[in-house]
Amino acid sequence: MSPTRPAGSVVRRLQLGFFVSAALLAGLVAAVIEWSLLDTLEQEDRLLIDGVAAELAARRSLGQLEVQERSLQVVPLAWRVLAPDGGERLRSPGFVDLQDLAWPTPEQGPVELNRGDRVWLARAVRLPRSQERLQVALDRSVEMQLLWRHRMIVVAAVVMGAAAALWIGRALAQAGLRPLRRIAEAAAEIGPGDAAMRLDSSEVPTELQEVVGRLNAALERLHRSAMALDGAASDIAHELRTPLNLLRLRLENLGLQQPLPADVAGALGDALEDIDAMAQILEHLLFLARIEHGRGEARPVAVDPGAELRKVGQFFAAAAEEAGVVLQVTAAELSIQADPTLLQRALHNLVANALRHAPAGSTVTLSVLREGDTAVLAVDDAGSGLPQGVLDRLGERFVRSEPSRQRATGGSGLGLAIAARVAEVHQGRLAARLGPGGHVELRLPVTGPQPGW
Amino acid sequence: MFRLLIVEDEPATAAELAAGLTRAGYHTTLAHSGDDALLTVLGQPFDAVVLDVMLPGFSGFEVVRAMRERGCGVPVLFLSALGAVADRVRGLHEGGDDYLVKPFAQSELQARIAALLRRGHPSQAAAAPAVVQVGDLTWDPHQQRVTRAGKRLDLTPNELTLLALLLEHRGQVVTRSQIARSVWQLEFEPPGNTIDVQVRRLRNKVDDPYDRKLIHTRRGFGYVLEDL
Repeated sequence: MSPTRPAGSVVRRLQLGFFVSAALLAGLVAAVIEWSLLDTLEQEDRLLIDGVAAELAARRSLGQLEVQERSLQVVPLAWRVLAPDGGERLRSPGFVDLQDLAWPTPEQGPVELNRGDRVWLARAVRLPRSQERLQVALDRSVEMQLLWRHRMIVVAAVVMGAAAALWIGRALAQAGLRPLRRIAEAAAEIGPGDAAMRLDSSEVPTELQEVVGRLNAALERLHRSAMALDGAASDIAHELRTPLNLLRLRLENLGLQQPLPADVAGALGDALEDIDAMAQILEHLLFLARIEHGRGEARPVAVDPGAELRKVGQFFAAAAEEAGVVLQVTAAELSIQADPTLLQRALHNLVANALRHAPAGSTVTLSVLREGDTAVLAVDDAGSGLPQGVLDRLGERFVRSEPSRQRATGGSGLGLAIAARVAEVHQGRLAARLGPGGHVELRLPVTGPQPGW
Repeated sequence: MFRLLIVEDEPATAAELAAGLTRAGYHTTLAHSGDDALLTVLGQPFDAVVLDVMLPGFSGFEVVRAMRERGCGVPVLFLSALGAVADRVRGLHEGGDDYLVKPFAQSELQARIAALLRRGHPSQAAAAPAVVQVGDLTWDPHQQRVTRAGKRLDLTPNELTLLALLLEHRGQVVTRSQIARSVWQLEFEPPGNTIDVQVRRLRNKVDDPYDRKLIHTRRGFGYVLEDL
């Protein structure tokens, strides 16, 4: 199975999208404004220089031009009058270093000329009634500087707007996703025990209504199947235990009514033992079914795991002695929240397994210690330990370390499953180590099961 | 003779139950549905009711509730195919006095009925347990002392508890689940054959050195302490 990679953050993507579109839009608007401003100013200047040229041309005499020059000083102008042979007749004081530039002919319109860091708009006109030419240039440098300054301001505004869009986009995306987070939180509260729970769709935006509706529909199906399984477990219990009970009653009455020949009595005893073995497997399966569907089995109280281990040790003392195994309990002082009956049940299964695998003369150790917020209840034996195949499927039903299905050596194959489910009900887990030497541990949070179980 | 009302909808089961309990010395009456059971228990005097939970008509739980509401305090032992802790708790909460999960051994059923009847007759229950003697085995509950042929037996506390259980039920079969519950307070049947081993080791101390054996295995039924 390849690990699934998350598709990235929705907030991040929305934020980026918002930023990019805001920046593009603002940039476009700024460019259009800039272009139209530039165009307008240039048109204005062209009109101005045409006007000025016409005005100057109308004043023919030098005296008139000089008067004109003074009156035009508010406008940064430079001009000269050229004779038909190209000789200069008259020039304005500002007309210093423009003569070698590529001046337009009178037939051309205004042309832009550059000298140093200054920009001129130049125009030539033919003076009426003579062959002389008038060359006029309008200095646009200040205008260009203002335009440049204006451009800087616009760019700064666009950049700042885009940055704001980044922030606003994030806030909007987060706000938009908040109902989703609420749904996730509500969904996280749903445990196996409360499949009857539904998500509240009243405060959910329209776009998410469908999601909530579908989640609720899935929960509904889950609930129904859980109910069906629950019902099935009860039905199985009833359907199998009732005939098993009748069978047991019949055989018992048969054995108790009249004295039977020894071989018949022996067979009858065996049959009764078989019924009990079957009933026990059935009970274990029903226990697993109940616990997996979160049917409130756990009643947690303050429990001293060491005391529980000692109780289990005492229970198995006779069996250990008979197997020639030393049963040792080492327990740290500890108090955890746990259901004592479930805990006993798990430990009984683990210790029974350990004793089954422990060689004569070895020691089986039951221990409890605390690792942070976890109580570790471990059972160690000197047997061959669990093989990899069992470790891989630890806690599954009917997984045995011996291939033989004989109860005498192999157990029912449900012990580890029961221990694992008990650990899970307590929000903990069953863990084991690869042999040699058996090591199985219940890792339980000291705080115990969460409410709802 | 104690009168028992047996309420069980499955006719064959009801008949086998009645046969076993009659043989054990009870006077038995049968009912096959909840309504039937309620009418019978309110109309006649009984010492105890053995009540199946899943019944047509009223369920066993509803029968008990109706009985208690009408002031009928006859002790009730539930028999049920439902064995979850929650089911047991509910049974007791509804007013039942004990709860036995199917399939069960008849000896255990009878022991539970006997316990219910004792509870109903405090004079018997309060009778201080005197020194008990079975064959040459003597148990003094006050001194926690067991002797056989005048010799004190060296028993661990748990072995003593187990022997005491067998002695209390001397002549009656005691099942593994009874041992698990009474000696070890286990609410589940322990896996494996540990209880058989415990009895075997007790027997090593109580019976092995002597010719007359007192603890006997009834295969398929349980263990019994008696001087045959």
